[in-house]
Amino acid sequence: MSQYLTDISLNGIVAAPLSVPQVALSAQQPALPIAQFTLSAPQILSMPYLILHFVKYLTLGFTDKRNTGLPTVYVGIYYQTGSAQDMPLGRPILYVGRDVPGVAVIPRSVVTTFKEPGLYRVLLVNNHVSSDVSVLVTGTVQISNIPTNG
Amino acid sequence: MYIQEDRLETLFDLPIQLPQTMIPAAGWMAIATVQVPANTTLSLLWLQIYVAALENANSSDPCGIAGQNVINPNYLPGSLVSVFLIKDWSPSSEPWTQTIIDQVLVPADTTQAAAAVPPFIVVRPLTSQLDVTVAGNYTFVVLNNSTNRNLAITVDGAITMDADSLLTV
Repeated sequence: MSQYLTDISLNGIVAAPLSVPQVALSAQQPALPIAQFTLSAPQILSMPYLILHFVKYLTLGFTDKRNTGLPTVYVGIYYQTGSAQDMPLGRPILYVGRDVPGVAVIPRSVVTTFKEPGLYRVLLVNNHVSSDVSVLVTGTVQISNIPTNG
Repeated sequence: MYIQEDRLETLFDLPIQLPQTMIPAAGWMAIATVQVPANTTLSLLWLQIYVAALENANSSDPCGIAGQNVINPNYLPGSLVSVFLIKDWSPSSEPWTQTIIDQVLVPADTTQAAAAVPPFIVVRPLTSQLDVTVAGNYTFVVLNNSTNRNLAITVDGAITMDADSLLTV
């Protein structure tokens, strides 16, 4: 059941922007780290809005994918318990992507809330083997500090 | 009036953010894209353009690009820089030929107070809030309207998305 907001609960919510203006992403340097957040208990990380705009191909080579289970261009959140990685390893815990130029948004039906303490890293990835692309990202991340009673 | 946590979850701000970037003469680039679904309102609250520097400028008239040195003198007379909000933007077409919902212009004429020698800043008036309710994809595009000067530009702004009506559908 939803509760009325209090000054304490509102002050415990921090919103951070995710913004990458139109940028070239080459197949040789396919991943661009765009943000990272370190979550401590009992904080909650949520992503109410994340959009990827696959603007166009800059060079069209082979369109084969490095990771066949993911879109050709995507922005993903990777949960990392060790040191920060600049390359995508495995499957992101949340992602939005496109196989062809256009716009993709995380559906509102998808759960975008995370509570596990650790490092969350947002990577923009060109999953092509040899095609260069132009992309942009717009979004926001919220980190909530759950107020403790008493 | 009080609001509940559910209501707050339907309101969020999104950035329009271009770190200082050199836009080549007659060039343009997209800054941010937002998808507005049905029953949602996009509100443009604030936008500002900072022109940090010019390259290849005439030292006696650094911003005087009126006349033959602009991309489209009919549509953008005396504009040095423009930021457009475009519905369903196509990257393969000139920005000014598309469905422009809003625009912020940096005047080029040095006789206008806002356009002195760089650096200078132009701010979209806070009093003229723009609300967009028609579903679609909306992209902010910055344009260097001069054909002979490269411009170092910063753009900062914020929009609010209100998806309140989604809860009551």
